[in-house]
Amino acid sequence: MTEFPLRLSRWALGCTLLAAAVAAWTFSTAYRVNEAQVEAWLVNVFSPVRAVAQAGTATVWTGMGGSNIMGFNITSACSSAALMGGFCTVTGVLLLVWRARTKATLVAALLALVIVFGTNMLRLSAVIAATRFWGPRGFEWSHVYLGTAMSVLGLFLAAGTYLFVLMRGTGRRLPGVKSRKAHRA
Amino acid sequence: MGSFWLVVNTAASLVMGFAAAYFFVCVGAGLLQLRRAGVKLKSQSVVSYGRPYEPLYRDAVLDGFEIYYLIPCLNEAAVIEATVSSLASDEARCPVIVIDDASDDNTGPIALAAGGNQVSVIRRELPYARLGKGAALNEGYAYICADVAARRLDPRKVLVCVMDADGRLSDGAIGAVTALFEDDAVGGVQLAVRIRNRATNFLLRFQDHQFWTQSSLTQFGRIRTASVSLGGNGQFTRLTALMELGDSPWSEALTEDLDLAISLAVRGWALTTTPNASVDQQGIERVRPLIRQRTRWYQGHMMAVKRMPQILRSPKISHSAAIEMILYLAVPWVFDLPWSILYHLVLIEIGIDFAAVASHANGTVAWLSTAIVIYVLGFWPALVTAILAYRRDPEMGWVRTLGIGHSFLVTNYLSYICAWRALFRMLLRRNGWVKTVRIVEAPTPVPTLTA
Repeated sequence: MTEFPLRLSRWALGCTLLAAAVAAWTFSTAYRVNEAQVEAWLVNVFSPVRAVAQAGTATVWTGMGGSNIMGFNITSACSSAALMGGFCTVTGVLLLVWRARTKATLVAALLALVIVFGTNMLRLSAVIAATRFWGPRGFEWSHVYLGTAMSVLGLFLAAGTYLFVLMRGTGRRLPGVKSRKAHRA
Repeated sequence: MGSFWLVVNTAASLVMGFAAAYFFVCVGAGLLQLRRAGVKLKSQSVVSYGRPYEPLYRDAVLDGFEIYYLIPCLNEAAVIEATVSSLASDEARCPVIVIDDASDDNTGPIALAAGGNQVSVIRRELPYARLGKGAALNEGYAYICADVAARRLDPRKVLVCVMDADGRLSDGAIGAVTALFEDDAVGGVQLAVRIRNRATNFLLRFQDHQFWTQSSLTQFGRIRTASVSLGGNGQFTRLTALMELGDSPWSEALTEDLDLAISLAVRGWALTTTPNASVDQQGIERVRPLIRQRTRWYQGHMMAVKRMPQILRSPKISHSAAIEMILYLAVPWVFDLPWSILYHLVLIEIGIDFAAVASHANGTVAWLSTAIVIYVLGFWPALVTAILAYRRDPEMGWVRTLGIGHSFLVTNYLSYICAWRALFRMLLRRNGWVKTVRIVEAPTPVPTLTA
């Protein structure tokens, strides 16, 4: 591809990602509604508990058909929308202001977004499971501690993967080292 | 209030996530480099200092290279003798150029007496002296260029080594460095730094930890991106690389070494390091001078951010090196300054959350498990760096390395203070340069070497 279309495609992708970031923050309610639907699907597929996402809200109802029905509302603080927006912004800016390698940058962003979203879904699942097993105490514990630990780990993994893919280097390596001669001070 | 904490949490997560990821990606890459090269983390810690020409890694240490040492000095009488003596060698006969920046003491005569005819002292006089380290180095550089031309040396095979007046190269360092310069793409090599008087007190032990564990491991990671950051001591550059920068390769910046690294990288020169050589130097024993030194470093680092566009525009620098350098330059701006505020807000939030959870925690087991979870969440970087510090220097012992790893709770405040001071100095346009004061040391015996 010649320089002009290449630059144009980077601009277009950069603008799209910035728009996606703005959308993730502006329409965070709609985003959370979708998160609730994915979470309900995950609970149904990977556990014996029946779950449904309440239409138009960010609430997951679990234990449907039984006597112990519990509702979980995905608040803004529990959503991955803000972080997804953050990664989209960083990537969009990179594409707009720099001759970033488009493919590598997009792969890095995609992997980071998948990790952020996936970790948050896992976190929500852990909160639901802990609450169903241990009640309010399980909720407090999993929400504050386990949830925070998973968020930190997820973000660390996402950012690490993002940087690792972007910084895949020149392939320069430390030359093999000749073993030192016996040395005693 | 909810949206306030959402903003705080998101910002804190992004700042901490990217900072930790950047640090650990570099460290991870560094560990991988060492593993592939078959080097153990602790190998550097068993080396002694003061015999740089020992053929430990190569039989022909110089192998056709000529090395010029540049030692900028301002009142270095306390330390210059030992430094010059360790660099002067009857076999290697590498020129040692001491730039006496209008010292009030006997720095020049002491250097001459210590190195004999291998030493040249360039005396700068006021008001044309004490204009910064970069200016002093440039004067020495002009001398080197003239000498290289007179001796008809090939500039590609001439290396310039910048040393601090209290610096000592590790045994066999020269052979390890010249081996790297066999690669024509390499323009600069920076050696890892060890604090010589680290056993004196906690502050010195902490400086050693910063240089020897945190900084050097990230530097090994940068071998892959060829963007190793240059420092002011144990800095080797190829003369042809310096010549591309004109008559004054070192700028007037407060961190002229970082500036030089950027200048070389954007011209396509590879910057690298080695686990087979290091340099040791004095640390600073008291808090106030340490804050002054670090504030200068922070200010130089923060001011170097203006070179970001040059890095982004350069067609000669690789993408990976550009990203690594941008992240490095951004650290004070996007990590230290914001985190100094966010950290305290997060602490308040944790306190509030803890109160909520603690109300449900009944009994010793619940309290203990709560405390353990909080500890692991807050201190996992300390645990990781403590493990790395122990593997890097097992002689320190577990207790001391764990203590050093956890010291970030206190030492982070040093970074916050210096970063904010640097910012205020920038806003007030204060660019003064305060020289670090040296300590008089007892002479160290030259180690014996047995094959």
